[in-house]
Formats: sequence, C-alpha cells, structure tokens
Amino acid sequence: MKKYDLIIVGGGPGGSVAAKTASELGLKTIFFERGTRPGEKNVSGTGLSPKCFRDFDFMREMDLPHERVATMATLHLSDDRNIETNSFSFTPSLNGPYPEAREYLTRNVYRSELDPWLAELAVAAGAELQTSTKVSGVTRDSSGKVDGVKTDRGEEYKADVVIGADGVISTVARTAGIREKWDASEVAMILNVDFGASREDIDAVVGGNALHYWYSSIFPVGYSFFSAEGCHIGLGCYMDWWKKNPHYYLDKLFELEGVQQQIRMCNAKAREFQNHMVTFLTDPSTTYGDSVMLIGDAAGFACPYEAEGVYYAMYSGMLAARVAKMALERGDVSKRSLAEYERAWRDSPIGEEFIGGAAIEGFVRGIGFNPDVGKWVVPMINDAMYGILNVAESHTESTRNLPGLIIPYLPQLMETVQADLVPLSIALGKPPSRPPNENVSSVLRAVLPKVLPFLAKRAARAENRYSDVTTPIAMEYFMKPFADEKARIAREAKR
Amino acid sequence: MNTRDFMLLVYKEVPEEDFITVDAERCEACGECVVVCPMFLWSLKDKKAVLAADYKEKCLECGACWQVCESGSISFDFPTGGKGIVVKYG
Repeated sequence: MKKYDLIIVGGGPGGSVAAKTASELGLKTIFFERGTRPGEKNVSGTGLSPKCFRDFDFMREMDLPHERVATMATLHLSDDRNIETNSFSFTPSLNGPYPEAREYLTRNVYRSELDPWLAELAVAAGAELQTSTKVSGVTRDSSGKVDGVKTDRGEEYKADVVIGADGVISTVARTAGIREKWDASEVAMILNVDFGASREDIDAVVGGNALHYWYSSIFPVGYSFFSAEGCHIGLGCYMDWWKKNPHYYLDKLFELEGVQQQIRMCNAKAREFQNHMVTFLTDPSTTYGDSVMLIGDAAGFACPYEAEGVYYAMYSGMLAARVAKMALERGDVSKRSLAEYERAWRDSPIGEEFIGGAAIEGFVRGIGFNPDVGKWVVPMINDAMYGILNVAESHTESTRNLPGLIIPYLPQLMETVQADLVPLSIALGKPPSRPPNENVSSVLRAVLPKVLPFLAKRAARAENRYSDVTTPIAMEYFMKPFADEKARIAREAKR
Repeated sequence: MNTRDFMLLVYKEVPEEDFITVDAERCEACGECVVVCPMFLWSLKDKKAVLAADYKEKCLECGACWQVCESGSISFDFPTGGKGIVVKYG
C-alpha cells in the first residue's frame, strides 16, 4: 500500500493540471489514467478558448503539431427541406478584452496530442502517473472516512485528499457518496466523426474559417471544426431530447450540401466514430465532500452555453490542488475545510460562467438546441435578408413589402423572446465588468439627438405605412414603460 | 451517405470482463436505451432490454444507456484499465 498527499483520478486536462499544480506546491501526488496513455479516452474536439492562454502561463508554450488557429467562425442555417438558406461569419473583435481574444476565436487541437503533453508537464513537476489503471472506487478507513482509492488490479493507494477528475460518469463522485448520476436533462450526448485530410486541402477550403456551426430546422445544432490535418463533424443534444436514434439526425447533417462540400473539397476520409456525454448544468452544487473534491466534468463544470469543458477542467484542477495544499497545512480535510474549494471556484471565471446559468440554459434549450424553433427562425431570417437584398422587383417596392414579410413571424418571435430571451437579459442584466467606453458614450450623446429627430420626422411624413400602426404601439408599450421604470428606480434611489 | 457506416471506425482492445449489466427484474421496457445507443447495442425482447452479445467489441463507452435508464436496471462501469475503446485522434 502506497501513501500520498493527493490522489487524482483521471489523466485528462483537469487531472493533469491538478497534478502539476499540486506537485509544484510540494504535495506528493499520483494521478491515474484508465487508457494506455492520456488522451486515449477523451471526450472532446477541441477548440481551446483564448481564456486557456490568458490564465495559464504554461499554455503559452503549447506547440502541438496538428493545431489550427481558428480566426473565423461561420453559422449556417438550413430549413426543414434540409437546404441551407443562409450563413454568416464572425471574427475576433478588434475591441476584444485581451490580446489573445483579439487574435483568434479558438486554437483547435487534438486531445491525443494535448492530453499527453499536459500529463508530461505534471510528471516533469514531480507527479507520478499510472496509466492503464481503472480506479474502481474510493476506500474508507475504519471510521468511514475516504482515505484513498482501489484499482481494478486490486491495489490500494492511500492519500489525505482524493480529486475526482473522472468525467461525467465519475466513479469517485458516486463511490464517495457525493452524488448519483446526473438527471438526463443535465447531460447531453455528442456524436462525433473524425476525418483526416491534408493540410494543403484544408488550408485551401477553409483556412482559418475553422469553426462551422450548422443550425437546422430538423436536427439539433451540428458542427464541423477543423484542425491542421483533420476535422470533426457531429452534433449533440440533451439526453432527455432524443426521440429517434441519433443516426437519424446525423444522417440529416451529413446530407447537407454544405457539409458534403467540405468533405469532398478537403478529400476528407472518415477515421473515427465517437459518442460522448458532457454536462449542461445550470448550477453545479455537488463539488466536494469529506476528503474529496471534484473537478471538470465530474463536477459539472462545462459551460452551460456550449459545453466548453477543457478550460473549466484545467481551472478547477488548479483551484482544487491549491485548496488541497491549504487543507493539508491546516491538518483538516473535512468537508467543512474543503468548502473553501466551492468559495474559490464561485469566485473565479468558473463561478462567473454560472451566474446566468439557468437563463442561459433556457436560451440554449429553447432556441439553440431546438430544431422546432429553427422551423420558423430560419425562414424568418431568410425572408428578412431576401426582403432587403432581393432584385426581383424595384427596391422601393421590396422595401414597402418588407414588414409584410416579417410580421407573420412576430407571434412566434414574441413568444420566444418572452420565454427565452427576457430571462436571459434579466439574468445578465447586472452591471458589466467593464463600464461603457467614454468615447462611445460621448459620440452617442453627440450624434443621436441630431439623427433621431430627423428619422422621426421622416417616418411621420410617410403615410399609410406599417409605422403608422407600430409607432403608437411602441410609444405606448415600450417607451412609456421604459420611462415609468426609470422614474420608479430614481424614486427608490432617492429613498 | 449513411452514417451507420461510421460504426465500423471504432478501435477496441476488447475487454474480457463485462462492464455493462442489466437487471431484467427491474427493467420497465421503456426502450430509451434502444433509442439513444449510437451503436444499436440494445433491443427489447419479451418486454425486457437486452444487450447485444458482442457489445464489448463495439461499445463506445459513452454511458448513454446507463444515463437514460430511469428504472436503474442498467449498470455501467468502464472496462478494465488499458482495455476498451482507443481514441487515436480525438
């Protein structure tokens, strides 16, 4: 029987960063990986967000052979005939919050390269890595306190603290009695097909436009993400959503002309088929117990918007290792002592992600992962674009007809706005972390008073237009409540 | 393109020991496991969920069947260390 300060179950990005941090803090650390090497049982792509490079110095040294930097993302919309009707792209904003964010959207890498590299960093820092070893559960001392883990080889390892970095199904969480399995509504499954292609072909076809999202009226939102010499194509949805076998929806994604084009033009060959579960929690609330902390997917730390997981796994791994160090110094690894871990992650970018968790989930479930909404959102967006840009009749005529094209969608739009967007805006309505830019404020104050009266007079002079109906309604039901609410807030502030 | 063809692209170190079991007594034949499994490893026979005999050679280890099983009759554990699915690229 071997004795350690810290045992970490799982050799993914979270486990490795926890092991690296703990070893650097002087803790005698071992981490276990059930695959023959880290990355062999991975659950994601992956597009590493700029946050990974903002917050971890060692990540700036990352140099993986098959990385592709995504400088553009494209959203494709397809209707219920499974025909793509629209697409639009975006790139990093020149006003992005920090240098990496201004440079790229994600850095796409393979987990088969990322995970071993991170594990090597942990080993170099002094952590012991044991591969091909499944942890079958935690062990307990005579008083019932968790005091280590047992492997499938029948060996026992003892430690003061155990970190569960073992993913959605987390053996540590379940055997330590922290939680049972998640509810089906809190977990999504993502089907993924890995394709190989030559660097030259991908450069020619997509280049840095390496993140494609396929929003549909038939299947839950799909993706094709490109790395240097490969791409991932797949889709996913909440576990409680599937009405048919996932292949039904996957077939529809692969039938899309745009997806077929990418495969054909890149000469991409399918190499692997995977299915993974990821968490979509609104508020992770079971992240520690006596002697045990959970990190990454085991804790439910994937972002509730698109289930980005690697950054949150790495960040929580770092925090858990620090808390373990402090708890060991205090000589108290009880649940009460480890409550420090929850305080730490709630006060970090992880906690920030979950402030709007429930509302974001409502938005994602209501719109993002909801092909039924796509059935009218996609034609609505297309009709709006068509109404503005078509050359089928005079532009005068098509501009007059534009409201007539859009108004039929209003009942559904209002319903969705109220159900999904209003709660989101309320939840996110806290003051932003950065105050409004002074320059922008002064420009708005200078320009709007001149422009708005001009536009208002122009609108009033036109007769027999939709604005004759919509303007009084907007005044009565938007401007007046706005003014009333502002006045109410001012009165309360006075009190 | 039939995405079922992708099912052939699964690399396994086939484990010897079972890692999924089903308790037929508890199964309520809701069929959720049949719906979600992307490898078609589940079927309903005589109103009970039945796991394919060759599941160890095919299972993707996603745990979806276990996750959706409300009666709790499906138990899922990972294959023994070093065995099971091998993701070469990911």
